[in-house]
This record gives sequence, C-alpha cells and structure tokens, in this order.
Amino acid sequence: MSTVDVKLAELVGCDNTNVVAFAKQAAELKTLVESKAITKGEYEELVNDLKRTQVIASAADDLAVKSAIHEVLVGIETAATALL
Amino acid sequence: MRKILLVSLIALLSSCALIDAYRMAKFDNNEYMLVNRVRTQASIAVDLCESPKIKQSVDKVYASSLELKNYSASIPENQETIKMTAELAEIAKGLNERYDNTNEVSPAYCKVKFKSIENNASTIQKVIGAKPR
Repeated sequence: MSTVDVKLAELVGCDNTNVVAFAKQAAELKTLVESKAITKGEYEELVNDLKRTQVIASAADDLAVKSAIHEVLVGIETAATALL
Repeated sequence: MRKILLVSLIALLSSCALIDAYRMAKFDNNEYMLVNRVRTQASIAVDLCESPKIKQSVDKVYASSLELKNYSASIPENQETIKMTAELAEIAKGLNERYDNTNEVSPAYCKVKFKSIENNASTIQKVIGAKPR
C-alpha cells in the first residue's frame, strides 16, 4: 500500500462528510488512471476539479451561515419594531 | 490595553460580518432556474457519454454554466454565489475544451465530469434556494 493510499484510507474514516467525499472521489480517480480507463491528462484535470469542488463546498457553507444570520437579524428587527 | 484592542477588533470583525449578512443578495428566481438547468442537463448527459451525440450535451452544459456565471456576477452582495458559479463554469469549460481539442475522450472521464457538474450544481442550488426572501 502506497503512502497516498494510506492517507486516503485515513481520510475516508474521518468525521467530516466533505473530507470523506473528497477522499472517496480521489481514490476512485486513482483507480481509474491505474486501470487506464482515463488518460493522465484527464486524471490531472479531474483532480483539479476536486479542488474546485472543495472551493464550492466551502463557499456554500459560508452562504448557508450568512443566510441563517440574516434570518436572525430580520427576526430581531421585526420583534423590535413590534415593541416600539 | 492589549485586551481592549483585541476585544475591539473582534467586535469590529463581528459587526462587519453581521452587516454583510444583513445586506446579502436575496433569493433570485432566475439564478435558481439557471443552476437547476445546469444540474438537469448534466444529469441527462451522464447517460449519453458513449453516444456520438455527446458533444451537443457538452455544448449545452457549458453554455448554461457560463450563463449562470455571467448572471450572478453583477448582482451586488453576492460574493459566495459568484465564487461558486465561477468554479462550476471552469469545471464545464475543461470538459468543453477537451471535446474541442482531443480526438478521443474516455467515457469514464465524461461520466465523472458530468457527475461532478451535477453534484456541484446541486450543492449550489441547495444554498441559493435557501437565500432569504
């Protein structure tokens, strides 16, 4: 088992769902390139896509938090208006 | 003195985050429709990877992802969506360029690529759909 395989196996066992999905996809890509189902160039592009997927997941988390904060602020504003 | 500065800095940063959240871009029907289109087209295309007509689906998904990116780009207070749609368009661009520049594209690559576009569009759709009304 190579160092990369060991690291991927560790990541698959972690608690964070985003990290687990990332590790599973990386392992799948490694299998595909090793079995020559995809070329080296295609493999490199798909690995870059995994990085882009992480950026999307992170921005999606930020947006979800922002939306939740917005709802709370609007709730406070509405309550304050009702009291005044 | 250092503690006061630290507390003031934390308060300032928190208030900026609150102002950002208060002023954020609201739910937009068109933005939601465009991301749904990308997701739907990719989910249909994934089963056509071994068909000779696949290039039509590649063109459609690339055009839709570009349309979504361009649409969200000029909406004020929309930073996270702009970042997500730009990354999604880059993923679709890679697929389009490969079909334009390479004679043979692996069916496995095509399937992984469309699946990636579908999953990422689904992630974006979920958070865009939950934007405040």
